[in-house]
Amino acid sequence: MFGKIDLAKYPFSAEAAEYVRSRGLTLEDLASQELRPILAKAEERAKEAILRGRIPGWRSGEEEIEILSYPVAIMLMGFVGDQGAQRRFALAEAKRAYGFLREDSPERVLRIGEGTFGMRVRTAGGIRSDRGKFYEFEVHFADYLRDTASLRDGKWKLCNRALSGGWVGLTKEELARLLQEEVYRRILERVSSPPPGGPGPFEPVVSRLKGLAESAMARAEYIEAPKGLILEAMPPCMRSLYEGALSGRNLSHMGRFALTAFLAGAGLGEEEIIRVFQSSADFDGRKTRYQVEHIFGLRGSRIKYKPPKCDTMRTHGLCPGRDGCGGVRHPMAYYEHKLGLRRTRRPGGAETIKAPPTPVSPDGDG
Amino acid sequence: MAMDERGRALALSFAKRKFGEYYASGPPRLEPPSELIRREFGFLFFGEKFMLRHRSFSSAEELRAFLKEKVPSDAYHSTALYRDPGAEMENKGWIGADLCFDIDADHLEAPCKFEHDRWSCECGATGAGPAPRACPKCGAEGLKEEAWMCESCLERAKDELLKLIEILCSDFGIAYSDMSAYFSGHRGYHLHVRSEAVLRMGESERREIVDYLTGVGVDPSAHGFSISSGGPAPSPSSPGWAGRISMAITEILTRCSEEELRAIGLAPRAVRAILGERDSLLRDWLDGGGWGLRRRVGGKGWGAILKRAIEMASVKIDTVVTTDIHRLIRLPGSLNGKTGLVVMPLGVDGIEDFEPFTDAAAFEGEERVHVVEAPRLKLGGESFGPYRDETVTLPASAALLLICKGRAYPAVN
Repeated sequence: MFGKIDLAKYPFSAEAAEYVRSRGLTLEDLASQELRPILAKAEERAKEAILRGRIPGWRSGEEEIEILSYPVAIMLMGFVGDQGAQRRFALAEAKRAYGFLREDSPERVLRIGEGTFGMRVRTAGGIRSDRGKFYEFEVHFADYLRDTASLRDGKWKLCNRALSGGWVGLTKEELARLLQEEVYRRILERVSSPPPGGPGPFEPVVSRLKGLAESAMARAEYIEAPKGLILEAMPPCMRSLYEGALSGRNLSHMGRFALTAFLAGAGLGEEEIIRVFQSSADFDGRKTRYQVEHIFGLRGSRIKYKPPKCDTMRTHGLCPGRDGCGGVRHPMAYYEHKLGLRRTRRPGGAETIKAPPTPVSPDGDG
Repeated sequence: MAMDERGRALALSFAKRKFGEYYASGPPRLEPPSELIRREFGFLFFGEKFMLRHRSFSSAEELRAFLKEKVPSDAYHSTALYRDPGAEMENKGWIGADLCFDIDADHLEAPCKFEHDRWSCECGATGAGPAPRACPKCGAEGLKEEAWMCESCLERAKDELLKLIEILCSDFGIAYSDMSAYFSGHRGYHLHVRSEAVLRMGESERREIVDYLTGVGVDPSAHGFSISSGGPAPSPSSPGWAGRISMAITEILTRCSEEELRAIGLAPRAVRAILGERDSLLRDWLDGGGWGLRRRVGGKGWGAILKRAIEMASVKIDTVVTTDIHRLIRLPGSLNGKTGLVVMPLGVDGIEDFEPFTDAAAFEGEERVHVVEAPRLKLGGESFGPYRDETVTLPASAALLLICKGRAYPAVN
């Protein structure tokens, strides 16, 4: 069922892993001159993923190199160690897999879901959804939920799917999208535990990639807090989102919205905020700018959005605190309180925020 | 009217003695959880404020002996399984957790709450029903609530439980044999799902299940209920939310009164149209694509109907209990310290006929108690009270209930 071209398309598959095993190559072999092209291809995989978020194609006839370079690239990325770069690599590989899967035959997509990832998935025998969509597949809700946990589009919400007897109806393209998540997670798992004993003969390649990762991620990273943002005063929820964004974690849509609105409320400009999101593995400059401008009220509804209140944060699972923040109901209120800004009520006037004239002394009655 | 120091002491020692008798009798309804050695246990004791946590037991016998010797007022076990359940939280080693649901009358809207629930403030103000956010008299927050339990509240909770079980079974494909239902011993019901399929789910996955059940984020247009575009409306037998919304709308069309239709938010003209053409609209809804209804009520009315339909079809569960994967839940067959009633295991098919106040009674015989104040109480077909500062003879479980609730103390002579 899997020809060489298929193995090259899906080097993460159980079939490809079996093929690689059957070739019986050792690490020493890979470092040798004859197998140089495999190592070179592996380095290119990693490099292109880090720099451009994509995996290059292969020349016809070079399937063998393509297949073997995949586990080598994973090993190299394991030694590189940089988590942001690892996420970018995993995402690029996963997106590559999605591209092939969505075009492939239903049998092969099913086989990879079941055989490689152990998903409970089956052909649906042509269930038609109420929207007139044709579901070719059904996947068990537990697998579905695991794979869609980080997908933000409302169409993935379980309550907006046809769920019956524990099975969720899916089109082939949607199943391919779930498999992208499986590939992503599997790669992250594997790069997080590199083989023991260090890079050895691969040291030069690894250090080149490390340098690349550092400069690429540094461009994105925003090490010093933007002027005006007081990290220590941030509520735990925003602090965690902020640090998550900087370390390259993909935030949920709600998480991004909350953080953007919070940073805007804290007085940061659009450019500063966009830079905060630059490290995300799935950073898309145009989209981010659009979203930020939207929240600033420059687009769409022309309303400047406020960050969500604590209740809402909790509903969306963005509140890390079990013990609460001392009765605060709004993340912004927490920040203002910590900064020593006070809420005062002017007689007859609206509620305003007033900064104390001088820094408050510990026992000041100011 | 408050109870004095002496009354409180009498009540406490009486309750402790009765609970002791219960655990000493080797209660057959006590149901140690599966994989007991992997569970954390927690206990509350009479007259003590703090919970004893992080206890583990090596066998059901050891647990029974503990209950008999220490006589806790409340006993709990973790929904989670741990490698080392007796360790501190960080070192327990989470393996997985049952999927648990709590349906509490507190979360249901029941008109009878205003008959039997009270709130009070330190300033002396009191009122009927659930506590407001702040005292209307002095503005203080965090008011004390005294929730009472009544048959109609519990009946509502039971309906929700049955709805929950139905959805878990038909939508999620969870077998009855993987579900255990319990009366909480107070104001609601618990449902535990134990199955490989759910054991390892994390909090975000469980939250999605909660959103599914409570209807949070349901987009009617994703299910074919747009006002204008798309095909005919889904039939009540469609899978998932499509079918549930369709079923609820069928119900609205079939049996909503004029008043109820207005409460949905429909304009008078739309209400008149539905009342006047009920049969034909219903036929059109079930067989004709449902365009008739959509046309009659207009865009706004259609939105209101959908909103109401989603609300009707959703299950009112306590969302925190289901998402928290480190939660403690009452030990089945133990006594609830707030009532002295048994945390009662119910077979899935025994739910409908379950009578909380009769079937969950732990004691027989009668007791003489002095009741400070209590609303009317129905027990096993009989009705007692209301009482105010009087000494009465009651069935033992009713007496214990009032004592646990702080409304009575044992009569001295």
